[in-house]
Amino acid sequence: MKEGLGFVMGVNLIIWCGIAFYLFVLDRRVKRLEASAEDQGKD
Amino acid sequence: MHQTKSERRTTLTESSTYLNEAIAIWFRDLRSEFRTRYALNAILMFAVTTLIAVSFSIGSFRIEEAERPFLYSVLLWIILTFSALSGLSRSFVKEEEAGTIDVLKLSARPQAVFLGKLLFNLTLLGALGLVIVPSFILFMGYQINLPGFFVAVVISGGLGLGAGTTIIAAIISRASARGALFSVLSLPLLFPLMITCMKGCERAAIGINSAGWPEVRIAVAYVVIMIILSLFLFPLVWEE
Amino acid sequence: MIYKTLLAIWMAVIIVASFLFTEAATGFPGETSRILFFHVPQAWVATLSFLISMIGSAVYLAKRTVKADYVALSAAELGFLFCVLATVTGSIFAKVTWGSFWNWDPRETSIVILLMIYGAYFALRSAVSDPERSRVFAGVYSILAFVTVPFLVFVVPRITTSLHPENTMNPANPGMDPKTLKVFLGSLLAYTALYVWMLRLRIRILRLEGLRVRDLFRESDNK
Repeated sequence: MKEGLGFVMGVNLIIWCGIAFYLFVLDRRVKRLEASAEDQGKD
Repeated sequence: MHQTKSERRTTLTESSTYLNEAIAIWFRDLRSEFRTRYALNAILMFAVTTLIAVSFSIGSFRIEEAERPFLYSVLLWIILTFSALSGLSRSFVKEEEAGTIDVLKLSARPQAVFLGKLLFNLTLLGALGLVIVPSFILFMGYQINLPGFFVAVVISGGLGLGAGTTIIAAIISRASARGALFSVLSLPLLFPLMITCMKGCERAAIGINSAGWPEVRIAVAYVVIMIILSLFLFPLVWEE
Repeated sequence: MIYKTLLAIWMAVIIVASFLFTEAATGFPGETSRILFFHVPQAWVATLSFLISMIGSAVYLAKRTVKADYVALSAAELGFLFCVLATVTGSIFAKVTWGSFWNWDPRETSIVILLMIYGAYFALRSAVSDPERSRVFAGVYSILAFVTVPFLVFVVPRITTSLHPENTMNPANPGMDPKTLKVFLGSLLAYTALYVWMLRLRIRILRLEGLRVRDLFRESDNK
């Protein structure tokens, strides 16, 4: 394995983990908001 | 007998009214333009001042001979495009400002309105081309080896400028920040046409005669597609 | 949820594989050819997004369902994002390989036009205050823009020659190394799945915002 390749790969993985984490959190928040919006719609 | 005759007359008028209405709108716009000369003045003055600035700063001998055909055609098309963008939106903006848009909606069908405005814009572009292209050639000492090809490129490019921007003018007349928006929306659509015409004029100036004039064909295809598409899309914009 | 977790793992696997499993292609300085696994899928997603935005606009103009417009707007936003990503990564690669950040290669030209179109689209949307009118105008503009793009495909290659590596880097060509091809296709899949996830999220957020605006109107009506 070439010099520095592992470093770039690590940076890539960290960035991806950040993006995925953000998307998961966003997904959950949207789901909660959708649930509350539907409750309001029933009133 | 009487019945069939009148029926025939209505079908005849049906098919010809689109064009009649369009021509009526065209003449009406020409008359009002002739009175105020607002759009024409804006376009021509923009073009002339730009041409003078370019000609003054570059002159006819500053650029090396080998570079001239290409650079001059680029300059010519930049002047033509931006002058057109400075005034063509007037055709619809003026209806919106004068409050005549509702009358126009009642009195003519959308496609006829579009065609009339397109004809009007093309007239303005024709005037622009007649003034600017010869004076550009004179001022800059632009040598053109294939005048026929050159004229064909300029005419088809001018048709493309009109065909591409008329529906955009209709869109921006209903929006805020009109002037800036018109250029912002039009330029991406005009970009392929501009590149084509620059290339065509360069080849005409050098004198490369290729069979079938490919640049003219691309520009004509652009014109046809834009007009057909606009005829479909314009009613949606107009009735909104 | 399972699919999303799988995607998260799959993308991580692709990242590892693109650095450890494949060999760098010859003819490029150092390890730079590995950009293939990231840059090309980004450009692909940007193009796909442009297509989806146009289809959403056409459906909205035909049926006037708000959801179609949400699709068009979300696809435009995400397409813009991926366009920028592809441009930046490509530009860095261009600096390393060809010596300058920008060369007006045909694909660079077309991606700039795409960026300009997206910019104009957002400018138009923000310049029209009436929401329905803004949707119709944006839809019309999106279709007009989509139709002019094929002209670029004809016009631009006549003007400049391509610098893009076509033989070893184009998956349609047999010159591609089989290992590289496997990872590349996997990456394409991962990016497309990620795009779908993001697109659906954005559509749901737009829908929520629409509901909230409607509720606000309803409240003000009640008062």
